[in-house]
Amino acid sequence: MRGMRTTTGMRGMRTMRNRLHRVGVAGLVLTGAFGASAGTASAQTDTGAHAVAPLAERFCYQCHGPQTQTAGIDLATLVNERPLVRNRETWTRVVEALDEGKMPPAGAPPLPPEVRRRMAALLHRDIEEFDYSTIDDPGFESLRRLTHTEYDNTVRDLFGVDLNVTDRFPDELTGSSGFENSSNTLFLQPALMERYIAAAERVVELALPAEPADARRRASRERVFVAEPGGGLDAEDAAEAVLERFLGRAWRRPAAAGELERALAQYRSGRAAGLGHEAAVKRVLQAALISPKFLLRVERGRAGEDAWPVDDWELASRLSYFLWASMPDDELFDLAARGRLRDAATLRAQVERMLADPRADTLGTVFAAQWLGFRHVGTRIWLDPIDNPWCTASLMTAMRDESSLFFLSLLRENRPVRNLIDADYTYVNEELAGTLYGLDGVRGEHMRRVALDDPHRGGVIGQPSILALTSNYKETSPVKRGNYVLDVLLGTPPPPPPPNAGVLSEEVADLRGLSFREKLEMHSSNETCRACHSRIDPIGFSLENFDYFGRWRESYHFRQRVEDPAEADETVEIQTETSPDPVLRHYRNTRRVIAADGALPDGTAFSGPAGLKRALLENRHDDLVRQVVSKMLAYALGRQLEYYDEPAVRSIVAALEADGYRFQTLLHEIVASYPFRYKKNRPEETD
Amino acid sequence: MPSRRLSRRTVLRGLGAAVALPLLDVMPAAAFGSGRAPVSARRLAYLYFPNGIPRGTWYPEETGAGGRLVKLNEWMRPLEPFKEHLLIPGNVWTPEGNGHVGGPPTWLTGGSYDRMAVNAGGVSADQVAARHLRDETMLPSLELSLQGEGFFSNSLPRNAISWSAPDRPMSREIEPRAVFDRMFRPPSGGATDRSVMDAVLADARALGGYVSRADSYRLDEYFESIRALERRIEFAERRSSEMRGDGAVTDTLTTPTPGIPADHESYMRLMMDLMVAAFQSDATRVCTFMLDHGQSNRYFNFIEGVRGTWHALSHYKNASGKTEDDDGVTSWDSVEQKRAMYAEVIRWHHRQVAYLLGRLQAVREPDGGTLLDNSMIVYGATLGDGNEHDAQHLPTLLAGGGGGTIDTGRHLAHAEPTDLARIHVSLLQRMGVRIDRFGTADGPLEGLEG
Repeated sequence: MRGMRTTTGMRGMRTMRNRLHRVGVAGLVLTGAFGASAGTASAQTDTGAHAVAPLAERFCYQCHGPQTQTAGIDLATLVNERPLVRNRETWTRVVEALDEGKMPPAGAPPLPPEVRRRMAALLHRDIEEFDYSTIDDPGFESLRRLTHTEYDNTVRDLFGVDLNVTDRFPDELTGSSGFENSSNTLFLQPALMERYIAAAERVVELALPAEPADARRRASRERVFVAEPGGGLDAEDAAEAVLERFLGRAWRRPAAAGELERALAQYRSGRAAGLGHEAAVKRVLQAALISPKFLLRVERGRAGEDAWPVDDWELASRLSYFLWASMPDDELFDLAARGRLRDAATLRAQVERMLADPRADTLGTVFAAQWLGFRHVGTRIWLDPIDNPWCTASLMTAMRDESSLFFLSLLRENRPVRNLIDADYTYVNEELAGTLYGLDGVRGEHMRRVALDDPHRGGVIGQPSILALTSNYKETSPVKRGNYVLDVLLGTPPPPPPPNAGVLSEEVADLRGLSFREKLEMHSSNETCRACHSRIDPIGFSLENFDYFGRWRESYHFRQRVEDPAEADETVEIQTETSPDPVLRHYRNTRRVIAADGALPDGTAFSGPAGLKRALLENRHDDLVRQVVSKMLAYALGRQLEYYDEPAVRSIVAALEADGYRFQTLLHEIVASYPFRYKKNRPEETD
Repeated sequence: MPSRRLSRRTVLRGLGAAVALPLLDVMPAAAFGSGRAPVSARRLAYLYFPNGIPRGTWYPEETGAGGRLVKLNEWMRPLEPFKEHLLIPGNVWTPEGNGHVGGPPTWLTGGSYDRMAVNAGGVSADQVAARHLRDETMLPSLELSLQGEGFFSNSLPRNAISWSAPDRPMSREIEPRAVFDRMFRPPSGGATDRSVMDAVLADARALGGYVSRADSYRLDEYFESIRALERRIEFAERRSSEMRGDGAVTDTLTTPTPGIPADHESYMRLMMDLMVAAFQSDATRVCTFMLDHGQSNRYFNFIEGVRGTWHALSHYKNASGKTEDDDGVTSWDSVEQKRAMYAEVIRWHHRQVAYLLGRLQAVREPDGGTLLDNSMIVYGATLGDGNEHDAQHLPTLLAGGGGGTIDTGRHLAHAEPTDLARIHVSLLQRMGVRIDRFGTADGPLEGLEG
């Protein structure tokens, strides 16, 4: 059960119109992929209602049906989405609710035991025991543009100079996958097109000045102007040599004869209009940089085919944008030209070569930073620099670098996935070590590896970047931290709070002198809150010894409201709207010792960060592995995962299990996976 | 001020376009006659604000016969000088989507938001108008936003009210200088050269047969963007001399410096100035402006007596300062105090909107009226009471006379929940779009004419 979470996230929210549209699409998929299984043991058929539908209609629809969608769940719609595993996460919750007797709730018509058994059996068969081998679908990744990061890196590798021209481009926005490279959020709007056009001009001017000022610019020039007129070579032949090489690299596959001819025609028309050789070439280069072949990740379509392997050139780009967030290099191009790249041994060797290259740092600075969220440290996570002079920009950079370098070490040293949670080393510089770790003896600004003997540190949970981004401003949040562990690290997010869930009665809590922890524990006295917060909060409590920027502490400041002025050490005069006169409020300031005992949702008890790490590795290792696989596969494919990716996820998980869960095995398996190497036509939704 | 009627040339070019929109209905009657007074174009804008309002701070305090506005409530006071130009519809809702996340994408589409598919359920009203008018102005539309602060600043749904297709949000400009450049400084240089563009397009077109049919959808996006740019360059060429002679705009607006102004009020007002300049110069007639993203956690501590972040303030019934929304350092002494600060943040935004209305009112139009008279500015949010995430009574306000077609100065009370999409139908009709239904609405809002 636990190891079988869906990768498609929450479905069945109140999006009826789109939902109904998608049902039609699902029908199309079914006839192709599920025709064989439809008539056999499965309770679902292409047409007609699922066997669970009449039961759900009778006992569930009143709260989870067409009229009312309590907790955002509309079973009437979900039951029509086939196969049911499309919405596995929600159905898994339904199965849990049935198994644990949580539904129907008290007061609703009870479910006869035989009906409960029947529904559970049907769902078990179609959700948990679903035969994923019936799925043959590499998924459709729509043509997507380069992200701003990929654009800058590609320009860097094309010209050999780092220009970062996307600085003032409109922000990248992210959707449900959380990754900027997700094809469903990469749009090509007119405002961006204008930036591309201006950038093309800037790039060519800056990278290829007529008179290079330094060695780097000269090298960049030589990289592009591979031939110069003179010495028996006429200008047009030189232009052809330059353009053939440039277009092949900029467009990530050799320019076809027609393409080269069109480029040369542009060159000639430039010359005819009075431009010199170099100016005319540059104008063609600019045009190449605003071509969709540069801006988009173009892959060839095949009408009438279902799924096919991408060609060597396309595979080279898939590899390079996954591992480097940039274009392929000459070695990849060369292998592609020789038709060697699809060879399994070559692929393995290339993955290892590419991982060792500094360009693969993007797996830390882009992939891990977006998955684990630490990219926000310094931008969205920061403290007021006047009140907190210790919280400098360089400290926050070091915090990001620590997490990024740590993640890269897991990959490059081929460590097991468990090291993500628990490791005996980290990366610091003097400022980070001194300010947040309280470690002496580290000197200098550069980040270096240090051994850790504190069992609470080591692994992402003990890293300041993660602890800061799961805190509120200058105060820890056990709820955020618990949620982070369950959602980001384990891929098993608790459901969102129901609307009108209400809030804790703070007035009461204040007067009773409860600690923050005790107040949060009041969640348990409220039926609505308890179901989820009893799973979330105890994880966060165990991390309370880490403050809001990841410093260790034994106690925290507590400002308790008291009624008796004699007990107070602080009195505040306040104005309220209800009373014309000021009102006095009394407080007593104390320190409270932290109680760091916690528990996992299954009840496993432990204490402190070290205890949490141990409990996660002992009890939730499968979820952790699955989450690492899902996140990296989604990033590699540039799209969110769908139910049909489940076979790939499972086979990667199985390969990891057979090999001690090593990170490089994960990279190899992703690259070798069916969705990474294949492409398909999208089922035509709009026709 | 140049005439805004369609030239014959525009019509001819428009007819040659592959996507044939009903061109005749954007032609004002005067275009066919001669010697008639110039008819001023209508302008359409949508101003979005997040986090809802405290219940009871939107509707007027006193109305007369027929809902005539006599006195706005104290929280709406900044708009009091403009009450003759306002229409305040009551009991507005969006049946399919609302809130911080589902609200922004569906506010103007009347659809529901599917976050997995990134689909807003329809084209937004501003983009329907923009497509209709795209051969008339240099930019079909402008999408403005203030730079986000705090969490969710990069969340797509919280930042997208404008959709050119159900699955295609428009990117928005957050930098005043970039807005200025788009209006008054068209791109130049080699890549905008006609022959270069033609070559790029010819080459790109050849891709159509190379990629799969589904992929060619993204290619269409590319061509549309290029076409939009070409139109803009053509307009700029044609109008550059007219613009130079048009002191009205250049006298009141200097080129903004690059970057984001540090002072929030200056920043917002500068964007509003640019919006006025865009309308005044006829650079565009359609604009959306997100005054903040859908779940803004911005601090408004610069307003006297206000502390804490906006979204935290909106959950005013918990004044402990210890909820998930809170920053941990701010606390309040009572629910009343927190609610008042929440209302104060919104009143501050009303002041900025009043500034915009004042600027629009100061511009004279060729027909003798003001720019405000010819505008239709919708100002509102996708939450009613923010504390309760109320899906009903969405704060909604319409400013401007729509070229004399709207009887303003009234409160339109509705006993039943009234679909915002009805207002979209009404306003789009006034922009010349021939529609009678939109999203969830099967007709216009009754009673705008009085």
